[in-house]
Amino acid sequence: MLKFSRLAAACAAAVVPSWLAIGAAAAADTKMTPELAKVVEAARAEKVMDISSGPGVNGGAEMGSRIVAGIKKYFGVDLEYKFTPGGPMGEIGNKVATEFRANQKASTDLWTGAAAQIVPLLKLDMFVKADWGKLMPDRVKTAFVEVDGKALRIATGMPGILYNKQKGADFGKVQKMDELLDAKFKGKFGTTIYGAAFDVLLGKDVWGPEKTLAYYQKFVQNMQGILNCGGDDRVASGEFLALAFDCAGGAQYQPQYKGVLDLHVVPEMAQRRPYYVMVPKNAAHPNAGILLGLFLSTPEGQKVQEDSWGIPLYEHEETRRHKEIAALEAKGVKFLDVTIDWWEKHPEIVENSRKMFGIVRAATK
Amino acid sequence: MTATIATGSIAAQGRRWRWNSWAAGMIGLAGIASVLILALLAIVLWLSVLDGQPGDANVAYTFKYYVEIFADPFTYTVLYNTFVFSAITLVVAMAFGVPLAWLVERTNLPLKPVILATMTVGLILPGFATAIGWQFLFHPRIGMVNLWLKELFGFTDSPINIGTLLGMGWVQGLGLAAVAFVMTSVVFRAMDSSLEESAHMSGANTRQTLFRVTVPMVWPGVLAAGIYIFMIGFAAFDVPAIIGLAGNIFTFSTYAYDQVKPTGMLPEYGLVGALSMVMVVLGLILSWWYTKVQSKAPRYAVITGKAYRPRIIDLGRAKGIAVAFVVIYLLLAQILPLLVVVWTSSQPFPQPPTAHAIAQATLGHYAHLTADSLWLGVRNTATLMVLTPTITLVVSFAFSWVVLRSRLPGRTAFDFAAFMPHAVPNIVFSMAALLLALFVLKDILPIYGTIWILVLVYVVSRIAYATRITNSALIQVHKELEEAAEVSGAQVGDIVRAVLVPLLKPAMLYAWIWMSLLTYRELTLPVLLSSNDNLPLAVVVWNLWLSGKFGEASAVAVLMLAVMMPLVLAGFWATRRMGVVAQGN
Repeated sequence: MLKFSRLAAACAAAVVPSWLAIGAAAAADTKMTPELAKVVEAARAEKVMDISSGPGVNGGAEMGSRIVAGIKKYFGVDLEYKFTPGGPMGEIGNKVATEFRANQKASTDLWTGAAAQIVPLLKLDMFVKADWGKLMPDRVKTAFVEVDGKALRIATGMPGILYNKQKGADFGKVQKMDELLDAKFKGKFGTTIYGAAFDVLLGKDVWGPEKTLAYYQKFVQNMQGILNCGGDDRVASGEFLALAFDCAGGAQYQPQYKGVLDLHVVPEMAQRRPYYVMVPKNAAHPNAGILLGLFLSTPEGQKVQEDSWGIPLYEHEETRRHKEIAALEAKGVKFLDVTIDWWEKHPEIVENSRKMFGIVRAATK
Repeated sequence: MTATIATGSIAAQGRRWRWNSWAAGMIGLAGIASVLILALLAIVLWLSVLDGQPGDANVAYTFKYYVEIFADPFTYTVLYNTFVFSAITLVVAMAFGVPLAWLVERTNLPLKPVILATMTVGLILPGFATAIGWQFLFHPRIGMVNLWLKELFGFTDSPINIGTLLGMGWVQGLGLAAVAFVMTSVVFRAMDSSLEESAHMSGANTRQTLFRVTVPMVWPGVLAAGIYIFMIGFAAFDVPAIIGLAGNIFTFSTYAYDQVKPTGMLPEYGLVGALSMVMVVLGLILSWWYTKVQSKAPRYAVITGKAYRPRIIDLGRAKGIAVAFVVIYLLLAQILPLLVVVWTSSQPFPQPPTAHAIAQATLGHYAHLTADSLWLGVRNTATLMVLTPTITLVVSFAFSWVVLRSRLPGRTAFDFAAFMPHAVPNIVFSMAALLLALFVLKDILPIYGTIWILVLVYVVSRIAYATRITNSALIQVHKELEEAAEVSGAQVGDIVRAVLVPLLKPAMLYAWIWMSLLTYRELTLPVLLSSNDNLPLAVVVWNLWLSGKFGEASAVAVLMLAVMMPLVLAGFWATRRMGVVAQGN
């Protein structure tokens, strides 16, 4: 049951006899619950899904035809997929937040973000609550849904050192974080300005602010420069020998990087960082957004994730990410789950993350 | 001038009414644009003292951002870096652009149309391609020149590092030399050669004439170009983002971008607003300086009713040196980046050209492009390329006329207003426009997410540039021509149509073409303002680059070059036939 008034209004407007929903279900390849039937019919009326994200996220433009075909297959509805290439997740999230405050339509019907980007926006109460579990009970487990139905897990990031296999092979041997302070790595790797993956270390039950900031102070002195997640080409070209740490860890699977890039998880930094999809309350086509979120949860949707972004959801056992993590766990690596709930319980991270930014700045020339 | 028109007769009253309607129209146009400019600046000021986010229910005000920026040593690092980077950019751009303009406009340099057409390539190429190209040449680790030098001379460390302020300024300056060329060639072309001829008659040689006559005459135009380029350097984003951050160097634009578009926190508009206000003060100082120079404008009126035909100087034996200079510039600033962007589009990821890399060449990036987003980008970009220069030049002419020809009290304030956009880095202007459209105009003028918000901001931000062109051109038209027309009974409208427009046409058309091309590559303004329906190509390319898809970004750039080059060449051919662009062999 959707608990958002605008969405409820949209659903009410799309009230259809139950036989129509059942008829639609007959053409669909998924269990059509009454809740899902309502969403499908409302999405049918919306006709379009307007999506803006980083080009590779959730399939981007390249996977548009697979997404449209998948939604038709699973839900029996034809939706036009309009994709606008946008910037990083945080940027798009902030943009949608600004649009929400100004009572404007959102730039995207479905926003994707991780806990770090989501938590600052939660206080704006700008996302639709959806009963994801009831919409697709066979694929969406209770644990996948957070913030009272506002966020659905869709992919699992696994931060690690993304390195050039030919020119920076030593990065693949790092076992302790302290090794990155070694002179042999000086001036050879980039790091994100927002301290991707380091933020978690600030947690009081991880390293805590004191140890993390002290470490980070030394770490940035050893770096070459700023390189944000997505700068895979620059590691492949050898301009940077490594990115420490990559946000999600999926680029090494892109065909063009085969034999060129690899990801190395440092045990001390082993994190499972779920990525969530959320439907903005000001979305132009909220039901279409929900259907896209549901499709991405299906096996075919997860394959789209795997083929584009490279990071399907760990919890689905058939996925490559599940196998990767299972293999590392078998070697004794212990992963920390950086969920929204976990992030909200660690306010010290946000309190200190600006200090990390200050440390990076202080290291600049 | 019209104050001298006799009153009393019906005809005179009619003339006066018509003068008033023309004048009112131009004053009104300049006034509306001024209000818009000031409104955007007011938003930046407001943001700098706003404690919280725009749209918050409870609004409080504070000076904490000013305290924070002045107390933070990083601010001074950023300001220092930005100043040094802008200064180097300025020197490099002027060192190439001004001599090139002089050579093309005033000498018998061969193949001028080819040079002009090639110059445009630099404007069409995305800035990231240039930056990547220079990284491949002079990066300490992967730079080919460094690798060769190490191999040849046995250096242990790379002798050249592009990742420095000097390297960044060099790359940015080479790119902006085309802008310096455009702005100063107009001035060189419109010069009255009688003064130079008089100098020659008085026994001055070419060098003496150049430095004692030509340079002082073109000084206002060159100064305008210099100030403009310095401020572009201040706001430049591509090169600082690619070369600067990789070398751990922040400038204002990269700092502002990170504050306005952070990850994991809400935008820090206050800090950017406060720092922007510092920039506005600096811009005001530049504006005051420029206005002071311009107050001597009558001294530089070089188009008179007596003679208006620039004299072409024979380069003689220096022709070879001049050609070498042009070739070196074109090679470094245009051809090299062009080759890099074509190369990058054919590679799975950017890599130096080796046998292995050639074997990996692919057209895969072209295949990945989707027609929808390309078409959207093309349509929006084309609309912007037509509307922006057209509206900007109309508004700028109104500004210049009010400032230089009307007798409106306080008219110099209009020139300050017109110059102000130049004092504000584009990213800040963009931020202010975004908030203006979202929170102020949303019910009156719902332009957020439409092409019109981009047109509005592009026009406002271009007014500073365009008014420098229209001012320079108008300064060079001596009032005696208008006075002669007036004595012959012409009205203001007639004077504008029959005297000013024909005389200013070359400068205006030239400015139109170049503004159109600058609009094509503009990135900083639309990067915050673009939504699903108003996305221009530059942002499509930028988003691809930002997401690490260099190959696809380059493929878009190559496709656009393929489309744009014939259009540009056709445009230059047409304008050359119209006499707008310098004739040459």
